[in-house]
Amino acid sequence: MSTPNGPQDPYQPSGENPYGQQPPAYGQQPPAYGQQPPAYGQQPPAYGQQGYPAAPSYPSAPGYYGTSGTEQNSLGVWSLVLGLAAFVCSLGFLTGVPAIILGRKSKRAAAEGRANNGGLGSAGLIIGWIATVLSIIGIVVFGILVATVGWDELMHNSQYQYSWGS
Amino acid sequence: MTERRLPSAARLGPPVIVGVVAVLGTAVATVVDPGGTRLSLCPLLALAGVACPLCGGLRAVHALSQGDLPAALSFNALLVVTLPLLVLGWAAWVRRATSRSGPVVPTWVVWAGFAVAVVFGVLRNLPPLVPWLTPWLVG
Repeated sequence: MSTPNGPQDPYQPSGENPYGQQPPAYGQQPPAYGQQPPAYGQQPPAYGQQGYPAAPSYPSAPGYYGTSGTEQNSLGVWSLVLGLAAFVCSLGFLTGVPAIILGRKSKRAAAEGRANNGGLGSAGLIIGWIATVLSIIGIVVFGILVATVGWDELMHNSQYQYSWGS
Repeated sequence: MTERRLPSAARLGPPVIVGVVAVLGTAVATVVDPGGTRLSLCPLLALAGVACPLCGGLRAVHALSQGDLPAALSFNALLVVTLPLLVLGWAAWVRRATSRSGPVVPTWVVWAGFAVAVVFGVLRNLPPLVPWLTPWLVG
């Protein structure tokens, strides 16, 4: 699952994003955080490339595919944003689980040279896990409270009252 | 990799899931008044008394479902203002998943939206601005 299937065919645009990004047309540069394609032969060290040093050179070679392996960077961005939203906004697993999924995809994309921001994906993955676990704990505690204190008591006699409208 | 060549049905999965969750959430928020409970369901609000950028979102949706725009704006102005943009972005997502054509939401838009949300979250908790941005919050 996490093993890249060897060097990719440089003549076949194979980096289609399952989330809807199309590979750019031949020779067109998408604006990608100011990441310019490296000169031929100068490959930036991608994240997670320890075991596969030769793999990123193929999709990164200018002229074949036209990007420096950033076409799936949006995965890491979305993972981190959703993970932070899960944490800060108490959304918990609602956005935490998507953050985990996208974080895994982002790390895999980085390992295969389709993205260069695997660190964002890792951060989103971790934060997503923490938020998901915390929300599950919170739901369990809430269930225990409802079972012991009772729904009406909890909802209408709580000390945590805020007033709006009335 | 198997996921590189996913058929349209599989590519359509994530946006459809998000859409179904959004519709169900809206339905629940329409029927049940989230402001009717006296307990904050949000740990951040309950424990720290801080309103995050999304705080009041459910109540705003409920107010919108009742046609009360001023109340919705008072609960969460940012969400009400960006709701049409979110719907448009979701529509673009579905279109990309089905036809692989149409506009792509650039990555910087995600970052910009995140920055706007953070700024809104800070501003709405500043005491001088609370009466305007978070009037329901009692300190």
